[in-house]
Amino acid sequence: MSIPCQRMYRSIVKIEGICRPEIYLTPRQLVLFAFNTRGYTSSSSPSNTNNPPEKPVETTHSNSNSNSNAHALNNPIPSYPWLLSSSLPRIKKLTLWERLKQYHFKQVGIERTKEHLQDKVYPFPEQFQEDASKVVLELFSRLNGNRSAISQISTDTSQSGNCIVLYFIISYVDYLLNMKFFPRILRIEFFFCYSRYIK
Amino acid sequence: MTTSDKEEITQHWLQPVMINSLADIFVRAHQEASSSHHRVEFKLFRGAIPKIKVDQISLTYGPFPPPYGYSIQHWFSFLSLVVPKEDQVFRNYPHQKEVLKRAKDDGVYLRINTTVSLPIQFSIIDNSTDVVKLQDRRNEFQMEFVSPHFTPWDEIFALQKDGSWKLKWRWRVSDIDYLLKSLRPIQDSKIQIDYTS
Repeated sequence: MSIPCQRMYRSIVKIEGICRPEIYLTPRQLVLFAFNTRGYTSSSSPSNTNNPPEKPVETTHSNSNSNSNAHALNNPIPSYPWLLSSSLPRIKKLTLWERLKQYHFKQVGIERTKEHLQDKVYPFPEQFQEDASKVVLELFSRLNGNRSAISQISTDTSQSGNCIVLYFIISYVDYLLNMKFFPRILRIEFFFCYSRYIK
Repeated sequence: MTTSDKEEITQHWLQPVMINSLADIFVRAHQEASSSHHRVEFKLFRGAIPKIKVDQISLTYGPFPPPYGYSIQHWFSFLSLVVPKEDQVFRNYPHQKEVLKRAKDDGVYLRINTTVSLPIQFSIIDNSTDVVKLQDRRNEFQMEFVSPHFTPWDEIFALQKDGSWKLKWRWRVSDIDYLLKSLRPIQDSKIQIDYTS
């Protein structure tokens, strides 16, 4: 059994007016949601909770899948220098005055850089942006250890995010136009993007 | 992907796109992950092209690496001069202009802080079971690019077959999300000149 971890969950959202949204989940989705909101360790072996503590038994990969999953989940996650979206920024936020100064120095720096890189031959920063974007793509392919190409995945998630916003705008305009004279029930699909940081 | 397509993450492998001190950190993290039977994956969304926005530029004039008897003069946050110690102290404006001119002749390298807009998914996966232990997505992150040191007499462009000019060298990433900057001591953004003498 593979443990579903941080997937996209689809549920049905029923809206009766903008101020009173009601969320409906199917029983399966509820179970999945509850399973994911709990700790991973609790889902590994629930039958052992009533038993007295015993000596830890080493789980090998030749055992059942649940045991191997438990082994995998007990394995601590290594630290990695990539900054997570939930982490605090590494430097303090700039004040308005610092931002203004930075903007000024950026303009001065651009002019000096144009002089050094001979602007007519190497238009700065346009050409730099093009070159740097190639470096960024190559960097991640190298960090993945890919020799051939960058691994890519489909853009379904980002597109669905835009759809949600669009649906909400349409439904809100629709609600404003109709007011309460023609109450309508809209059914739209809602996607939960569930992610969290596991220590 | 076949195993033959996979390359071990070493400093030599990352060197074309990263400076050594940053590559060291990533190589160490990859070694730690592989020793605990994990792998790290960065996934880019299909058709995603990084959009680069320049935030800050800093120029360092002078010889590189700084020879013995030289010190660094910081002018605000965008200009640094590697000058002999006798020129470290500010005397007057014309003299300082002369110092800047001499430092310019010794060469320059650029550091460019940018904001990269690119949806990217970061995952830590257990090798034995393929369980995703950690997954995170970011749409924007900070990167710093650095140029090699070059003097006004160095050839920095090469003529292409189609008649266009191209840089002889490549920009390399010198920092990601201020990882190295946060490890350095905080530098005062004001002019660091000793006016007392």
